[in-house]
Amino acid sequence: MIRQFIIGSFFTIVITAVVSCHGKEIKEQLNEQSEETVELKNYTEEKVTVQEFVTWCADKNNKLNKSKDIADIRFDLSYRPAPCMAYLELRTETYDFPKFQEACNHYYDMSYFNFRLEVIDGTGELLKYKLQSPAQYEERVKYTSFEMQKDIYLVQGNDTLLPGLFHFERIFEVAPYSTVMLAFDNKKFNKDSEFTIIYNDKLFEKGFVKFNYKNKQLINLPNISGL
Amino acid sequence: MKLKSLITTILISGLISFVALFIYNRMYHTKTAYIEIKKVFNGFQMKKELEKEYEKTQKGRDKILDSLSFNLKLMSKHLNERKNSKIEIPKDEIYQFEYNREEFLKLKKQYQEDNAVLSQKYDNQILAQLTQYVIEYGKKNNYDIILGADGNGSLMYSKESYNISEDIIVYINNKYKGID
Repeated sequence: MIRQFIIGSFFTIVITAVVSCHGKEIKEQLNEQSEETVELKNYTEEKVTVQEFVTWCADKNNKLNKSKDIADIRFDLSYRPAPCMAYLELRTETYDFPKFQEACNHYYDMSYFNFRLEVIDGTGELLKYKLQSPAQYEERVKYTSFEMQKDIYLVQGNDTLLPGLFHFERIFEVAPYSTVMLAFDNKKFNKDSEFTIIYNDKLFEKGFVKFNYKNKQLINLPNISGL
Repeated sequence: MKLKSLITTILISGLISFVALFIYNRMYHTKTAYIEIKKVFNGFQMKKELEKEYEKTQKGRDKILDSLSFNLKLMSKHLNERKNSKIEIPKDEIYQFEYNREEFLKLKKQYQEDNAVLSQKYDNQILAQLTQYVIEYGKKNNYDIILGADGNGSLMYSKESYNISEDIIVYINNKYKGID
């Protein structure tokens, strides 16, 4: 009986040890595999409703939305495909498909992104965060209105592209974040290929904040039924 | 019968070992690693990029200073030649020389200060992002502690297997580049 127990324990200890040692590698392999699966999945075959499409785009797992925390500031960049922009435009109106399609056509020339800067666990106005003097507030307002658009750009290969459209939206004391709507001319970059959007943060001095979009990430979207 | 009891024994002892190991890992095992701070800092892509930016700015400033310095040397040479030849030098030329020299020294000092401020600013930016990504790496890989070895005695010895500098460099560079 004792011999049985010793042999049994020996086998189990060996197996447990082997599993423990290789557990990390197996887990890493599984992670890599699951990431590859996400990358390779083709969404263009899927047919969804407009509402489902908007929800799909907002889902972080679908990689259209990127987020980066640097110390106390969170930077979020979300790609807004034309149907999302049309949906936002027509939100208050009664749903009408031809109208929706027409609205979509307004947005096909450019790639729209929503860029949000937020104080993590903060309150009050973003531009007043860690303010050192009243003059600095004025500087920040001026910067976000006129200078900031020069510090956000798209890099593809050796080409650098500034946004064709830039709008900084202030919501004052309502919440500790601000949103920038930016758009890049589709004729000036290849949407199918990999690119990086870079923001050189001079507002909170966090330096270069980069968001990378891989090949076909912007075009691998589900289809809206009827469109 | 003998085989059955053997299998039962193996299963029970396996289960007990597994539970014991699981509890031990959860409660007592601290997942620790260390990074070589200098190696990680130098391997960080952001550091390389900002270093280039800094050198570009510094070279631009040095060029301006070199040009001013060259003009000053020329002026000085002319003034000395005329002085040696005992030709009278107009006072406004001497004033001009003095003024240019003062301006040069002022600018040189200002650039030295600006360079120091810029270097400090870039270092802070690099450290802020590097720290953030190391924290994220630690959380993602369930580390309890990640130590920083900087050669000043804060970490005197550790097995090489605890050194995760290479993995960290890959991770922080991907995070910096915005790659998911």
